[in-house]
Amino acid sequence: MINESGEKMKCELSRFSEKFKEHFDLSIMMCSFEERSLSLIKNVERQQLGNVLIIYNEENEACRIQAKKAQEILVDNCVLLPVAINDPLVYADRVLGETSKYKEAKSVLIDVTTFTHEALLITLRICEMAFPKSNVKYAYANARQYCSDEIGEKKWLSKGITEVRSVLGYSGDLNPCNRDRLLVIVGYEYSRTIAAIEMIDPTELTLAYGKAEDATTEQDQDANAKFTDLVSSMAFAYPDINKLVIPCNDPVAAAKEIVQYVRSCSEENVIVLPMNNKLTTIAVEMAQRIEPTIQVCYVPAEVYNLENYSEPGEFVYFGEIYGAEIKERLNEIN
Amino acid sequence: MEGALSKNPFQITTPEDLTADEMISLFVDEHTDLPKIVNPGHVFIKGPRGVGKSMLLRFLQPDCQCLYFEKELSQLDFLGIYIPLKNTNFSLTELRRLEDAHACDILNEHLLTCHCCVRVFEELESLQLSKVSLEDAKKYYSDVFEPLICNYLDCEYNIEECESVKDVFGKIKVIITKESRTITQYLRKLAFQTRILPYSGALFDYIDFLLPLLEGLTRIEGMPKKTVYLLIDDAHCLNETQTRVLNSWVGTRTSRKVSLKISTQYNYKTIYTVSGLTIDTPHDYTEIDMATIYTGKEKSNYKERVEKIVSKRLKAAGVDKTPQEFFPPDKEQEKAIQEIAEMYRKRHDLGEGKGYYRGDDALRYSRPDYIRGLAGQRKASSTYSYAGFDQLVHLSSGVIRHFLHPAYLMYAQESANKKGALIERIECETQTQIIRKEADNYLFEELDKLKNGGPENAWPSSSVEKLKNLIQGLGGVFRNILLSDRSERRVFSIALSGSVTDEVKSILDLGVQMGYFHKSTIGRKDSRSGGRTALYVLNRRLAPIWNLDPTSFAGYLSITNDTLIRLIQDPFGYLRKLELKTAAFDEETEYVQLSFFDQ
Repeated sequence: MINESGEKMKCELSRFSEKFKEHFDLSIMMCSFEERSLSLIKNVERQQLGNVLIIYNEENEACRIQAKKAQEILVDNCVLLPVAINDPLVYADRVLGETSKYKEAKSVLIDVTTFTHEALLITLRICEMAFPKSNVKYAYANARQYCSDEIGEKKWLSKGITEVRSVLGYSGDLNPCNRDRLLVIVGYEYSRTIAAIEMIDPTELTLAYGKAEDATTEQDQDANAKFTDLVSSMAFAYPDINKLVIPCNDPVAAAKEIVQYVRSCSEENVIVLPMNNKLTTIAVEMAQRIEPTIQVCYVPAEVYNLENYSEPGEFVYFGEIYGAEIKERLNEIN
Repeated sequence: MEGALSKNPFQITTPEDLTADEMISLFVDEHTDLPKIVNPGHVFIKGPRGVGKSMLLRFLQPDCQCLYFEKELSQLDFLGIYIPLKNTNFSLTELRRLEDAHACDILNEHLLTCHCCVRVFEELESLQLSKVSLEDAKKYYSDVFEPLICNYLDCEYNIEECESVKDVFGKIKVIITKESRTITQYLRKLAFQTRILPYSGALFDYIDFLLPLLEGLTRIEGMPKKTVYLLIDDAHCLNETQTRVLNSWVGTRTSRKVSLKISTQYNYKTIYTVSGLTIDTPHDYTEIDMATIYTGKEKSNYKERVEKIVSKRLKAAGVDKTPQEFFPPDKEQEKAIQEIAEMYRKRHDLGEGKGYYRGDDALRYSRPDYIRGLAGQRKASSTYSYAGFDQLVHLSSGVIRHFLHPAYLMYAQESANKKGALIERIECETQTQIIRKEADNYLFEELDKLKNGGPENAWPSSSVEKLKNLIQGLGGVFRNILLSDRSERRVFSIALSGSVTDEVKSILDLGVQMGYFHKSTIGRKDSRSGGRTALYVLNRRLAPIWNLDPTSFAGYLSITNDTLIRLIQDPFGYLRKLELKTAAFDEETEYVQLSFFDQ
């Protein structure tokens, strides 16, 4: 798969080292309860990854177990970093502290696969500050499918929300006199999305979704049918829901769509809620970099489908987040 | 009206989007407590989402007041300025950097004050100001505003250039907005700092900045002369520090000049002020619970209110039907119930009635008997129809949104069925189908997806599961009573017999907070010295799950802590035993008839 600049962005996981020959001084990953946490490191040549920082949620035993497995695979030059995932300040301070030990890193890889959206966004900003002159890239190992033991609307990834909070570092610039428009990048988690919309209770609502052909999952690409259900269920309070189509497999292209849309809403405060895959979350980070008025928020889930969240897929997406090349591409959006 | 209501007459429109004309055409003034709200004095208006708090505040804004009372701006008794707090600047994660740090209260107060000021002048700019004196407005700028802000102005503003009052207010808004951005920019810098950075911007507060600004407005010729009301909406969105700041404002005795009318849901964070004192009712503020108004003694007003609201909406949509005609009951069902009622009236005539009045038994037993009849040999409880305007009003449990939302879905369904034809009634089947689905969603999906509060008072998932058990258990018990031979079978509430454990209390409180129970008090029947105990009324939206009669309830179940624990732990096990009559149900619980004064 090739992006707008002709760059190869996707390949089979097993051929990652063959296709992308870069060596990194530092790799950062977050182990969750998903098996996918280990997809990249199982398939990449060890020497490519350099020093590895393995972040995991210290309050979740399943995450700790995955982190230990990662450590066993990597053997040496890896550091376990337990974090309180539900406290963004503590998370940020710990990651800041740890990354400051690698100031000399010239090239950094972030395995974004199983970060939470919030942790990923915070980590990206920390990397921008910690490695201002380095080349920072992402890798994302896809899922074959989500919640494989259920079909259709019975699929569930998480339930319940505890609160809505702005993401640290993405406070935006909201004008109290403007109307609030919530732009939700919709994923599979419809129940949590509806709860978030009701809790935020914006004046206007936009739902962004990806085209089936751009979906990164290998199955269940017909998210549009469920998307329609979501629109219908919100129509009582939001008769004029705007819709936005964005690519879910190319962060720069998605960032461009988001920025253009936000600029068309110049009289409104735009709050973005990313609930799709991590590639679109990277797109949100890029969009906010270009348009710092955007506020990004996050809804922590109360319960995750630990038993059956996802099945690892066979592909990896790869690209640049910070560096000369991406700067040029984002400047074009400007 | 076309602007306010799209094709579906039950579409919700946010009150902020309603023009004054639309607002007046939709607003129904069936509030026995409206005088308490419009008189000077701080007021907390509490209620669940959808009960009409924001509509009420919108009604108090000057454009609506002028239109409704046919008055000029200067003739109004108060100047109501709408201040929405559902603004995500108040929930910035960066603000947590200030907690337990130096000047946390002061900076949060500055944030809140700036927000209020910007909204005040934004609203003033939008008013009809043609009869407001430009000279006085300029004098207000130079004598009131400028002295307050001169230390922070980085350049001179030539107010003489302003050609209208709107320009003057607009200029003030620009200046305050600039200061407001200073604090948010400061907060942004705190994001990835482990130490607090010095702050060198302005610091505004209620007493020394906001109050003089608001009081000065009443001295401008053409503006209302009396009190300024800040109509503060969604105060539950504030964090704890901000809530304490707001409480400190309530605690100041300034309500003659500036009154705070604060709407909030039940999860308002605290009643403490920044100095650690509490605000108290009635001497600091009056409290109105809009849900109580509509479920308690004044519940007849609620039905009238819904009727008026629906009538207005139908009229605006061009439907020439009364609400009763638009939402007809199931005729056959009602006929069967009336036949049973007539039988009871005849029995009373023969001296066989249990009740005092002729209609007592008919009222008490006819509908439950009908439902019991369905459950008997026919095993057809689920065919009980919840159609009919009266039943729909009861099912909405005092929250207008819970009437409008199902009505919206019914209309949408009917439109889909009738493919664009004019809808002049909702078929009974559609009404019941939607109501049953909504009841299921309310119990099973809402509990799964939504919790209140933030990390400092988030509820663990085990508590939610226990609440679900308790609700299902109680629903089953009430069903059991409905199908029994008890003298009163319309039971929908429980009162606590004796003390309860902290765990049980916390589950009940969670249920109240999430709207599944309404909490009230009732006189202790077992106490010679009087006193009251808590009464928990199940939300009638849940009635269809157990095929209960939603139209009235006349009794409550006095229930012990042990029974509640059993229901929380294993509701279905308990209900099975109940059906087999192996549970000592009658010993553990006691049905109590509500007195006239309790209803």
